[in-house]
Amino acid sequence: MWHDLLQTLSFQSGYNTTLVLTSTIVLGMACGVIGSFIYLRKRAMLSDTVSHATLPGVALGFMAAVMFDLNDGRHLPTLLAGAALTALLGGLCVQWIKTNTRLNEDVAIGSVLSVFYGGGIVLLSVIQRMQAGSKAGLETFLLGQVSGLTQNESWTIMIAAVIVIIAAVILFKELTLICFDSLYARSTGQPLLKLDVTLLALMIIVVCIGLKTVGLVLIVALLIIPAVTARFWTNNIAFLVVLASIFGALSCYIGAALSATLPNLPTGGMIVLSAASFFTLSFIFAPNRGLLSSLIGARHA
Amino acid sequence: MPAPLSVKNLSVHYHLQDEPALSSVDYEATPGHLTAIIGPNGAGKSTFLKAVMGLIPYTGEVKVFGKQLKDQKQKIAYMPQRSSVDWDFPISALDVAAMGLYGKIGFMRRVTKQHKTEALSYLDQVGMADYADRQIGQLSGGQQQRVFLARTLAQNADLYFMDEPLAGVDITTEKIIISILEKLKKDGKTILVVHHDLQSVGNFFDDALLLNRIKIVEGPTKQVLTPDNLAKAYKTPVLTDVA
Amino acid sequence: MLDEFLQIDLPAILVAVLASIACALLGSFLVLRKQALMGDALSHVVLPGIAVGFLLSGHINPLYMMGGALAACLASVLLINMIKTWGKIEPGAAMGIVFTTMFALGIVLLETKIGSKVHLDAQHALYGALELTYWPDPGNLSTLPHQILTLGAILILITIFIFLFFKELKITSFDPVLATTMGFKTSHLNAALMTLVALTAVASFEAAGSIIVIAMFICPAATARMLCDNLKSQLYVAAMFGALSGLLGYILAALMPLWLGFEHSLSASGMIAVTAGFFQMIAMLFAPKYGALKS
Repeated sequence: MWHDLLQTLSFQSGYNTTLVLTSTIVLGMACGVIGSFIYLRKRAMLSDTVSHATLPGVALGFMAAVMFDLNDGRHLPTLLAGAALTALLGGLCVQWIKTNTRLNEDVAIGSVLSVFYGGGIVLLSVIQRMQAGSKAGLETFLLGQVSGLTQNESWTIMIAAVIVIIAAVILFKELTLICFDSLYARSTGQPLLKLDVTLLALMIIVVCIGLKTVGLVLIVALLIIPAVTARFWTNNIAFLVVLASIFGALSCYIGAALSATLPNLPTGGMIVLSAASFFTLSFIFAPNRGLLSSLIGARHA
Repeated sequence: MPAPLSVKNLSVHYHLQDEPALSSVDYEATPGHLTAIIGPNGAGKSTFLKAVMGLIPYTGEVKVFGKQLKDQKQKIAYMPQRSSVDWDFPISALDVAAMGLYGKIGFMRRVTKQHKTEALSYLDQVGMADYADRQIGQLSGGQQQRVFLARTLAQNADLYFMDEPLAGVDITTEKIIISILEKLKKDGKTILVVHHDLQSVGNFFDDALLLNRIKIVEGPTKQVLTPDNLAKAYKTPVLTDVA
Repeated sequence: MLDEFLQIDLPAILVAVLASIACALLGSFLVLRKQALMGDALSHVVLPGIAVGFLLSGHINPLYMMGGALAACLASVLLINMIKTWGKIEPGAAMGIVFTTMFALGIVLLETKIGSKVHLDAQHALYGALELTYWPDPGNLSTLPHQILTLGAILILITIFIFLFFKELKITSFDPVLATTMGFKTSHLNAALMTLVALTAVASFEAAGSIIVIAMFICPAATARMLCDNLKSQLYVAAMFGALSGLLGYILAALMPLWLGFEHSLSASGMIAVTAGFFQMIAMLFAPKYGALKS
């Protein structure tokens, strides 16, 4: 077992495993980068809604693929297009509720999340009944399974993740500005709405490419946890984004390798637990914000 | 030469509120003057600034140097209230000051060494150059306010809007801010400042705009700050020695 | 036909309605206190608690599992507060870290060791298992499913709590600062409320799955919030829409397809959430005073 794990960790388990592992690592980097801006824009929980809102889209995509006879429904581009569509719809619903009703953002986030997810489950049950017993294989979208990833899918994930990272680097200055002081950003003529929609779109892309490996229930963790972990170590936003992408990549590397080697370990869960370990260590030991230094500081004060 | 700011029939009605926050305000700023916007709490002073900069929906007409605001963003600079940002944000004083240059640097372009040097010179003007690398949350309230002022200066605008720059700051900061305001005025800039302290209005400001959901009166400070006008705005007689 | 209804549908409807009312009542306070996502977070946290409860007891013991879940909820509330205060992390992110980590832990525990032995697997957490409530001998109260009894007891507890502390809940929800200056112990009341929320989340999760818990803590309360301006009517209206969503959602998912001649029913948990969301949408658009489309 240890031998197998070491082999996977050192990228020596064959082309396929190496490719899957690499794509997951790049996904982790993209999550860290985008997650940093989402966290600083205080949209952490919105990403939870967006990821849950992909479920009805995945189900509708499956139905559409079956209808047009594409690869018995498991046609990834169609599934992801559906996922992105309902995720966007969910994000816009939250925005609409926030601006047009007396309900607060947390209520908007929670209600859209539960209703879209509920709708997704109803659609999944429709598919299950339609298929009469034969599994549609959509369950992996909930919790993620790295072993089911094909080479094509790995390349898709990698390319999309790299595009997201490049976009975030190009827009670094503008994204920083809207995260820090959105009112001021608008007063200087920055297109706040367009930048916010861009951030939402980048978020949706990483959520969608993360569906297969991390799963929609836990992808939000990969967006938030590395960014917050990085926050414990730096006061500089550029450094924070770099650190977050490293934490994201490491979490994916360790989690995916463990899940690929050991039987029955769900990938999404293992990745999140790896990320959570980095967080816990940082939360305890980091200077200034860490638990220990806070406690020592409190005693000295 | 058109007025730096001309406002006709400006009204603001916040979503889900019964009463409008501002109704039918007409106003014209005098070029090169330092103007105080005064009035009781909830009078709509900050609302007025946000509306003329198009940050909140309004009805009426706003012209900046005779043109629509959206074509004139390079000519205005805004200094928001201190409470509007998250002070724990991972960013240094220098980076905040450099934000004032973003309009000049351009969309998607990098911030270069030169830009950083320029931003540092603005920090220097407000006596904050020594604190350039500090995370903004680690500065005192007055110091934070000066960093914001440096960012506003970096925009190098013709018309300045400042929301309560003097609220709750220490004496050093107050002196620095006042001297900067005077310097801007000397350079021919027009400045509108939301101000809370009636006592000091007469000392620094040329003009005043007195609001309380409607425009009560505008004009040279001495003419605005009469007991009659203040009573109208504040509903109760205000004891003040400025008038 | 009637037997089937009494054995399967009636207990499921009772579970759905009781859970919905309990969640809707507490949800009203969560919504007013801007803690709406607490219900969402806690419903995820229940999972590792149940798993650990099982590990400790060694077999399926509802008491241990509920105890474990409750402990996990309370530990999470503490953790979230620690990360907020010591780590200076904003509440949304702190909550996101804790509940996703706990949920991941639960999933990993269930999928590896005990998943095969416990009836309650990850699927249950993800889809809800309303359909599993079964009353073997209808009419015989001693065989009434324990979920119904538990939820009934919790609902009574909640009602008593609200009745006794109505005044305190009102002032602490409306204006926590004023309440503190007037000498109300906001932290105690908040702790009591969170305990009840955790208890309800655990019981409803066990009976109906997480999706009902999340939806019912928020949607009926939000619907009522669009329609009402005072706390008493807020509570009545939320409870009513909770019950209505539970009943109607179940009928739409479980019975309607059969009446229409289809062979299989659909996911009731999901449909109940959708029904609750539908009511909320109608209220957001057409509420007489606050609706977005009011004339």
